[in-house]
Amino acid sequence: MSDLLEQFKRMIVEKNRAEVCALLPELPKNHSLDEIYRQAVYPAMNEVRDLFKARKVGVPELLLSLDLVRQSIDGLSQGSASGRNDRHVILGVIEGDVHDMGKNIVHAMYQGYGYRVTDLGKNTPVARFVEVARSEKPDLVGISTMMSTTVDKLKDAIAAIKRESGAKVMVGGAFINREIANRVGADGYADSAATLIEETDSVLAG
Amino acid sequence: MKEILLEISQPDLGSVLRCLGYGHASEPHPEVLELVRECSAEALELPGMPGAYTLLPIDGIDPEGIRMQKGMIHSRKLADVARGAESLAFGLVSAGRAFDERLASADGLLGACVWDAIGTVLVENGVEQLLRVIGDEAGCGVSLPFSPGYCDWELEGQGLVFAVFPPSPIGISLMEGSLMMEPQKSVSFVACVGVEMKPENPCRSCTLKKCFMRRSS
Repeated sequence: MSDLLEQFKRMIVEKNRAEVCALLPELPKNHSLDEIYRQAVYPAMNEVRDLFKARKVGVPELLLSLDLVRQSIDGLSQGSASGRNDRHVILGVIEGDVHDMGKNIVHAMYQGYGYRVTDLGKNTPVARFVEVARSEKPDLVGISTMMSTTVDKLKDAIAAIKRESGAKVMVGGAFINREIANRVGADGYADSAATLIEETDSVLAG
Repeated sequence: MKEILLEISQPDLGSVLRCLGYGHASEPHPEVLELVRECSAEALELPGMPGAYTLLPIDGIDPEGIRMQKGMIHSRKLADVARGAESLAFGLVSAGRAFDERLASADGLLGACVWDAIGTVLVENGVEQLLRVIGDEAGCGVSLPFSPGYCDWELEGQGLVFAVFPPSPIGISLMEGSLMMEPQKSVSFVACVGVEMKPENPCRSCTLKKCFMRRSS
């Protein structure tokens, strides 16, 4: 890896906004978008997630890094799909719940790894999940909820999405664990943003 | 029901940082700290928080919970605390729609995360203010607040709390099915009122040692 890419990666991990901004215009002069993503952005995200998993940084620091990655992607790609992976994810918070912080973090994490994301927002009716999954044929639908009172809606949504679109479905949220995820019929479950990408890989490979 | 406009005071920095998940292991990044300070200062410009309460007599206390005219509060922990109480205070506090709008317009994910933590601290502070008002009016002691969905009181208890208030009290509505409150940063609670009541921490007798809402003191 070039010194420039190495430095860029390190500045994302260290959350040094000024340096990231200073390096951004230099990168495309020396590297393709694919190189920048695969050798700097994705490895930086991996390192940040490892630090988060090891509790060496907290959620706010994870968000700072994600924000720098988003800013970098916006600055570098300017609409180009180069460097993105070809996966498409639909995300939303199930109806009856308006807590969208977790879903927004998952959105940023997927974006950081180059996924195309369709975000249906919060308090999303089951019918809306099904309608969009049927029309957009995503690889994966991610449903978030904080409230245990939404569990019946969650179950309904998963069954309908799978039946109508054939997409895999992952769930996440405060009260959910692997046992509940299995019980409601989900294909996968991520306990935090730190494990999201590996779990997604595993679900989509299955 | 009595309504009161609660004051918004400077959110305590340590409390906001605890809500953001900082414990002993990690220190906040300088950019995070700066943002917390900026948003905390801006929070002082929000309108005051509406609060409401009503005091109701206790019909009886069973091992499984507290019997009230409007129904039963199913919580062994609260029943333990309520022994010796003369009445129950039902209370509501909300950071209001203005806070929800500020949260929704927060700059990026980190901004939303920080505003969310500040909102939690603000409404908890509002509950403390309201408990003092209730204690002053009753002229006796008040326990710590219990909220539906916490400890051993099921979230379905929200129905009973809202049943003692008129519809949409202080602008708070309950979402059908999920029992979530809108505005988002709202707290509903009951507290035991009586001469023997003290703000003792019920979490000390709870076995959920890693509970996010565990009160340490």
